[in-house]
Amino acid sequence: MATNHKEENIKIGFTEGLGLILPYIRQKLTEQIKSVFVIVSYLILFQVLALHVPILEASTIAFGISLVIFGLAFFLEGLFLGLMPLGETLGIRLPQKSNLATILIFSFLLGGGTTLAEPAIGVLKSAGSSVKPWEAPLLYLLLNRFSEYLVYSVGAGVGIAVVFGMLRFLYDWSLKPFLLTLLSILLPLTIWSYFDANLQSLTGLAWDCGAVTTGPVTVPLVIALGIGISRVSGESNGGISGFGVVTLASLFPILAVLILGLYFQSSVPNPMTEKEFIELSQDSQKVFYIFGSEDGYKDYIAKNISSPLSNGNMPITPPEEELSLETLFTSSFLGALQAIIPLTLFLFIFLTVIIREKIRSLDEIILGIFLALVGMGIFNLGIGLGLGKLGNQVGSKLPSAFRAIEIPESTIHLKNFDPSIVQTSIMPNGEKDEFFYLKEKKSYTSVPFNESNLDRASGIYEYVPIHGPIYGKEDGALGIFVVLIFAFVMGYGATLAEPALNALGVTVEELTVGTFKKRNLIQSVSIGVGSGILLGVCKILFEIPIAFLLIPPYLLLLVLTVLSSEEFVNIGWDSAGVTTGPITVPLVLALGLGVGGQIGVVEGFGILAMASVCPILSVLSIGLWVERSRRKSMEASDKIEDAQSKRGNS
Amino acid sequence: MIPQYKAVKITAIFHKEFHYKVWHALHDAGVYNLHFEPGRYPVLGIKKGFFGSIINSDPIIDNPMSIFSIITFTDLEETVMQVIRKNADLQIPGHGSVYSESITVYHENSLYFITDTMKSEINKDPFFKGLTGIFCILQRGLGEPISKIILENGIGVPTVTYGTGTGLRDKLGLLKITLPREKDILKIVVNSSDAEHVMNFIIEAGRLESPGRGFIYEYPVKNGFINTRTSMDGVRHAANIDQIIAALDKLNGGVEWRKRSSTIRTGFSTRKFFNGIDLHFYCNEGFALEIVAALRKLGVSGSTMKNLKLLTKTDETEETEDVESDSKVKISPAREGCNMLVPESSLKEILEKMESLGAFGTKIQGMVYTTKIPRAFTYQSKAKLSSILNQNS
Repeated sequence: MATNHKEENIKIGFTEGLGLILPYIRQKLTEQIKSVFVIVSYLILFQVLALHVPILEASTIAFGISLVIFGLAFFLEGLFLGLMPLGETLGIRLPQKSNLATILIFSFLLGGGTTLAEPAIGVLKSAGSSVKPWEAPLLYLLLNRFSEYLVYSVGAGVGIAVVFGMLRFLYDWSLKPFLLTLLSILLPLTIWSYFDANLQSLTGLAWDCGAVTTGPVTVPLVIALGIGISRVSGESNGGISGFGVVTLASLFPILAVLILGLYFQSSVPNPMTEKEFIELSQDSQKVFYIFGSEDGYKDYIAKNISSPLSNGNMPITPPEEELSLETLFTSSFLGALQAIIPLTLFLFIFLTVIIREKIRSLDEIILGIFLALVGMGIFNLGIGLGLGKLGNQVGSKLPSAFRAIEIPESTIHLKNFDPSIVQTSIMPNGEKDEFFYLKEKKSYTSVPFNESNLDRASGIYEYVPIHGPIYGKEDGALGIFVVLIFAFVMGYGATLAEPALNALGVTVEELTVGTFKKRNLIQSVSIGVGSGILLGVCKILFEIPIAFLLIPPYLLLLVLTVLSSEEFVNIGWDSAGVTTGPITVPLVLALGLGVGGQIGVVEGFGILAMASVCPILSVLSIGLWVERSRRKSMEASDKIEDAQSKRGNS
Repeated sequence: MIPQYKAVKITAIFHKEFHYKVWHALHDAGVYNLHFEPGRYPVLGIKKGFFGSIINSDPIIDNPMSIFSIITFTDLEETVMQVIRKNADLQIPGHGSVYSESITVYHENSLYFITDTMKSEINKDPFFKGLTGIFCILQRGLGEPISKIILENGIGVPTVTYGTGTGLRDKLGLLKITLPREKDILKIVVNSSDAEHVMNFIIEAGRLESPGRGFIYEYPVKNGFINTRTSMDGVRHAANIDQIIAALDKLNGGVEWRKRSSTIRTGFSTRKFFNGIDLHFYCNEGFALEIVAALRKLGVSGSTMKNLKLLTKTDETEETEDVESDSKVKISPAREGCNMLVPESSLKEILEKMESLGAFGTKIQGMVYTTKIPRAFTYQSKAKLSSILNQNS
């Protein structure tokens, strides 16, 4: 402005400072409340209204959810203030000041390092807790004895992906050839592994590994890095050219895990029944290999197989870890430290020591990192206390929509049980079944009588109430339909709250100068994820092999990719890597364990893979539609101009 | 004494689809070292179907645009503009605009960015005179509603770009994170006689009289060829209104006929505009903030910054001879541009300070040019207002 005031820094008093800080905090919180609102209210309403089960520990959950909101607000602010500018600066300086070899080494270390820091692989391992060594030997091997190899192979996959991503920016290669090549390797490999019993169960894990690698810290950092590099190199016409690394970081690990599986395939036995596993008539060496030694095998039998031939359909409940608040607290903040500090230190050291750059706005960046740390810690705590518990509750009660399930938390001990009240009923096939009447409040309900639940010495009968099926008959269509609708809305709502998607949306809107609005991206991705989760639950309910559910969408995706413009291909494929984050993954796993445990499937993997492919379809479709309307708008005026000149010439 | 040169700045705004075509045409003609930024052109969409008649307001369609800033000397001005007009087909409404301004360039280093020779043979279609540009800075997000109002009233077609602002917030230390930096920059070129009316219109629509809402100024335009398509509607007729307007422009040899009002609306003559020099500074990415911060002590209280990309000759080898030393740092394609409104009396002092800070050196590779701003407006507190009035009298 045209003034001549010579001004220095203004001293801000405490109240004035508060006057600035409070509205700022309030604005950030409102944004997060809006994004978290859908999933939280949906879960609560669903459990209470649709499943008729009250929510346990409601106040803890409420507190946990408010922590999630605060955590998200701080974390996102820290991302935009500190982490992303750091990544962008590095991206700008790196190609200018280093040679190609340094850049590639840096990329590989970055990719590998972030995978080791992100906790998502551990989450998958906990999901694999229900896998039985006789049903899926290869899967069991990789999830337990060789789990480090699994993590390393995923890390190597991400490292190579980042290397290729950087090369792409430096030499202006299109993303499409990469996608076509990778998919033309992965899809046939997936089809081929369908025909091998061992590999078949591994495919779900492989595709899920790809989906979870890119977490809420990696993604914004990698995107910022890409944007920085594309500002300096290539003939890009601005806009969407910094994307694509997230996509590669989601596809390469799948290849890595499948290759790992192929490597170990010959060392493990084929899937067998539990009887064969215990009796060990054949392939005993291979079975021992799963556990590392014969002793390991004997340990497992002793721990897990209590009675000979336990029934295969044991309902799997998630391990009820009664963590004390203290352990939860420390683990949340330690997790945040582990996810953020090594990465930022790596970037700082690279920037200051190897490239020898002065970092601008250092105070903002440090504040940003601090906010991100605190935010992530609070967020993790909130998930553990609130959202995770809520998800577990809903997930385990969900099958009651279509099945009768036991509710162990509401177990009642009946005293002075007199066996003479037990009556006998007859079933259509002639078998007899015993039951007795229980009076609860004012109504009489019939309860099946089980001899083993009665302790004759003390006269106490242990009764575990049964709930459901609420909608229709057992395994009826209506119940299943309710579950599918639940899955869709849960996927939709959880994605709306994901921080990495938020960061992607803001970046896309910024780079396209507002032509691609953040809310449009978030909405289309969320709808895609909802559909994906719905398909994934179908896979579990109807026991469809994962190959059938993966191949058709990916083929469709190939077609759409070829037809779409580079801009939308980059954004669309990246939104897939972004979706499965700290909010969606625990909820999806709870859902998978709950439903899968009821159905008794071999493994509950694959939902996350579906949740990754469908958003790409939705974003690419929207992209095609937008491109079409833009082209029409250009053509409309062109056609009239042509028509005019023709008329003029005749 | 810092040398100065009279030159011309050409701004070309056209649909992103033509980016490579225009760039290669310019490159082959010998125009290099131009700055590029992305932008958007809002257009009113067509109300379709049942819901169209129910919803009152028209939807806005945003078109992605590429904006080139080319600096050249007067003799080459028309040629450059013709190359752009031909390759982006600007005579078709909706494709874009191109216009030129008279500027003064300072310092030898800036010469690197000026195109002084061209090889091109192109026919000379006339351009229009009598245009004025309006430049408006608003809080991020306000650009859209104001563009809509501008389009609906048929005033013209605005271009929206993103920028960040410096000013009050930089004096707050860490507390500055509580004030958002992001700004929407709105530019529109209109008939000169309409300029004051349009400025008043935008000031009212954006409530720029209130503090912190933004600021607006007008700048003179030499020659121009402007997009007229405000809405997509009109495909029903043989020619749409934009083509009719374009045809009439051509017949009348200018845009004067479009004058809407000859009198300034009463009631606003009490609005106090001020004037100054708009100083544009382009430099390598990352350095603009520190230069502007150092200039604060000289009275430059605020500036607007944007990210630019430098498009250079493509067959030059990009590798520097010595990666280690700073002696031969090439100009980074990642550039920043900032502009600040300064009083004419401070100009010399500011330029000398910039030179002493190394703004024109090899590390920062700065370029400076200025334009005269006849009229500017923003919120002014009473105290400042009186000091400005005392200054001018």
